[in-house]
Amino acid sequence: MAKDQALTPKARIAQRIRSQSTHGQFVTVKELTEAPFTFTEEAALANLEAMAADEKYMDIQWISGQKAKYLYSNQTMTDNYARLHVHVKEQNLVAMVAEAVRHDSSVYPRVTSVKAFRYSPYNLEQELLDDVLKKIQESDEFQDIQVITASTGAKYLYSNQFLEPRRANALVELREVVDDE
Amino acid sequence: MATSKGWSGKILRVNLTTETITTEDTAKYTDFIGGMGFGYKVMWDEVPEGTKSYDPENKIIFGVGPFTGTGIPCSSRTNITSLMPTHNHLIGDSHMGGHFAAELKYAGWDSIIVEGKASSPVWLRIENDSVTIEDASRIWGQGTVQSTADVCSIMGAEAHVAAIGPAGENMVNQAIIITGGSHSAGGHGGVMGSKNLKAIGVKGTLPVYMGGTKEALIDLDRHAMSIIGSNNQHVVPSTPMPWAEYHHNRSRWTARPGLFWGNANPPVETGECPPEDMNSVGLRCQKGVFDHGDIAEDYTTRMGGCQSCPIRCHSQLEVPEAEEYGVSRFAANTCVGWSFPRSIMLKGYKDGSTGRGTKEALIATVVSSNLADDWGLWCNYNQISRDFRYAYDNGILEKVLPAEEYNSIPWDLLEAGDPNFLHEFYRRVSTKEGEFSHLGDGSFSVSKRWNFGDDYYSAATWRLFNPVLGFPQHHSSETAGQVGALINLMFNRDAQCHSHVNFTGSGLPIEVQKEIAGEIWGSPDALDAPADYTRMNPYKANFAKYSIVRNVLHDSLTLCNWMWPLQVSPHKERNYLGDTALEAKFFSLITGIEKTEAELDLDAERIFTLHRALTVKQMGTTDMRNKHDVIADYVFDRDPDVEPFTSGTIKMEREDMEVAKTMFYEAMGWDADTGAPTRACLERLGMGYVADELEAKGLLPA
Repeated sequence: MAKDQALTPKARIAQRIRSQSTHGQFVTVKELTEAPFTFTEEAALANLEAMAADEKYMDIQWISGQKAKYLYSNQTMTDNYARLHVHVKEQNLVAMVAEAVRHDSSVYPRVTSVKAFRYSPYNLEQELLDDVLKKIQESDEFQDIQVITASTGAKYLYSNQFLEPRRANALVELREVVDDE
Repeated sequence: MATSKGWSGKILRVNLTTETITTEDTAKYTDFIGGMGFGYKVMWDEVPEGTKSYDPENKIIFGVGPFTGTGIPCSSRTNITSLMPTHNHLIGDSHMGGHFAAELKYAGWDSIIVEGKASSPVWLRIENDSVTIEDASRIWGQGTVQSTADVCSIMGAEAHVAAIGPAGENMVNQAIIITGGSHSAGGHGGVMGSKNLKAIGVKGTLPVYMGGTKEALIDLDRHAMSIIGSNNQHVVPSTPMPWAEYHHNRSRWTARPGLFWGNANPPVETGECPPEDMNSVGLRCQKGVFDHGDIAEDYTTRMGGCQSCPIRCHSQLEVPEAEEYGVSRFAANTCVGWSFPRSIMLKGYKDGSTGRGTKEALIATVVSSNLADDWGLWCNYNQISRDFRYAYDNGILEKVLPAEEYNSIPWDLLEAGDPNFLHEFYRRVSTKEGEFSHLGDGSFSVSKRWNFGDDYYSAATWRLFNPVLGFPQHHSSETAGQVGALINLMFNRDAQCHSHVNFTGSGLPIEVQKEIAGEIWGSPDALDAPADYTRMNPYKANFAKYSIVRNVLHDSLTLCNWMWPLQVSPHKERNYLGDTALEAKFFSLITGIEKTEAELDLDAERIFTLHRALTVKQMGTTDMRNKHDVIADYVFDRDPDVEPFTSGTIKMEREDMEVAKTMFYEAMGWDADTGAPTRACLERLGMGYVADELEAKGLLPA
């Protein structure tokens, strides 16, 4: 018998979720109905419900996107990353950028380099990124997201819910000019 | 004789005038730990005030410490102590990494004291106990690359060499000593040149003994490796990762899926590098893209670094186009070792770009870096390019250079962004060719000689933090306000202290940083958020003192202060705390002398107070507050429409900085009015003899 076949159903589900989270991937209930799993959707959900009450699986978390609900382990994927990854997975790009900017402005606080969205896990091509920024600026929902241009020409974003314009400007110049050695 | 633990137990003294080579017992100096501490003690005891940098009476001390050669992470640093020709001949240190330090230890030496002056060019050959002064007439005049190769051709490829280039030989004030092709110590190349000492070659086969067991060392190493981050102890990745709660795009933990050492064969992907994977620590920092932009990925062959360093912060590049300009296609360096050579091209590059990020910028940088290191020219933390820019853009060069000289310089190449200009720049400065070469004198000297305007000393653009000694800001008030400003006041050159900027630049959110600051320095108020400063308080003085004391400790042990102290870690389960007692734990294990964190810090406080006492003696005044600890106007006068301590400015307030000085002086136990060490302070640190000498000279505060 394969080693993982000896595990309980709950342990097998947890193992899969933890492993996928390590690689930055969610698991859906649908995946638990496909090979190598043999659960029905009802059985998978029943196991997950039981796991939610089991101390051994307290790391298994649900997160909701616009298109689906996803499972991850916050042992191997941080909650911050999971919130970001929902948008990446569903390619909800406008919300992805806006939420990243608000998070940066409120938590660190810092300005967000537009260029950062060119890299993983966002990997936005410049043309697409420009389009996303245009939509943010045109949307009533994201009026707090501001674009700021450094004296070097580099573009940054911030949320004026959390950062005043003068501070944002100072942070941009610190980053681009003063600390650039 | 008992075997010395940690220290090799011997100091080498070489008198180049008398050609005598003697050995001394390290025990005489161990209250000063090693490296920097030994250097200050020798300078206090043996070099009288009034001595100038290039006088034969000046000495130059190459120091390593009890950690060097032990394999403790990031411990192969060489500290070089002597008078600083650029900065009013005051005591100062330059530092280099590489493998030279460990090799010196394996040859059985804790320090080399070089004194006197050779009658003709020589180099020093060290092979364990065999030390000889060799004729350097064949290598004098060569660049550092050929000089290193020549010494290795005699000693063998396994030798490690510290050499000067023509800039040092010609006693250009801004000259380096370099080892391993890219590890340079700025400021003392001319002192070696003044002694006709071209190079030191060292080869060692001896052990470094330790007080503890091998198993205990492995355990402590594992602990250190478990909390170590990336370069500058940045503990979050630069892009979001599944394992990371936080990220910061200025983090030097640049590894990510899809980012490669693109010129390796086959290319090496840096990948995710989660913190628990010790085998990928060396992949965390792809410094090529950090220093040059994305363009460097395809040209990065690998990351290099120092002996015993797992971090690897030197990007090793291959840029074939550099050969079109008569230099090697290979270059390695890090940080200002790249940005200074790049910025000599004042008018940008052939493609019209300025700054970094384009291929033409990369080519020019590699050309310039090769030339700077081979000629052996120092940048004074990039101030030389700002001095050049000020003089060029303000038409000063046209006024001060003789017409024939001015017309002989191919300015058209500079204007066109042609890297061929760089040959002219480095040759002229390094060989003291013409008036132009005074750019190498040092910022204070050249600015006075060429009558720079008041704005040079007072405008933020030019970054001259200390207008009296002529050194630039180096993580000053822009880094943690008064803390960075105080650190930048206390040395006699640009501050080589990174304890504070490593902390503020770790990538962690401000609330996490403040919590840790509270644990280390007594209150979260020790740290202000960037561009949201508050007034001075005693906890900031604690932060500043701690930063300097640890910096000094590291340059004495020796450890890399670009990594240590490990104040933070990448681990949420530790609340991102590092382990500030780690130096003391290693010290106790290696030397067999039990010391607490506080006891070891006190030793470092002794060293830094001796530095201050040396400065008082050399300047001939106790009034450090007004004569030495001077800050440029731009720090206070920037953002004229904004009050200090309002959100959105890094502007400081003059009165508050005087309060800051007072609090810092008091934290050090120095005189609160003048900033000079008191008798009580010196006696507390076991340096009553220093107090006696200062008192005899009228240099002890009342």
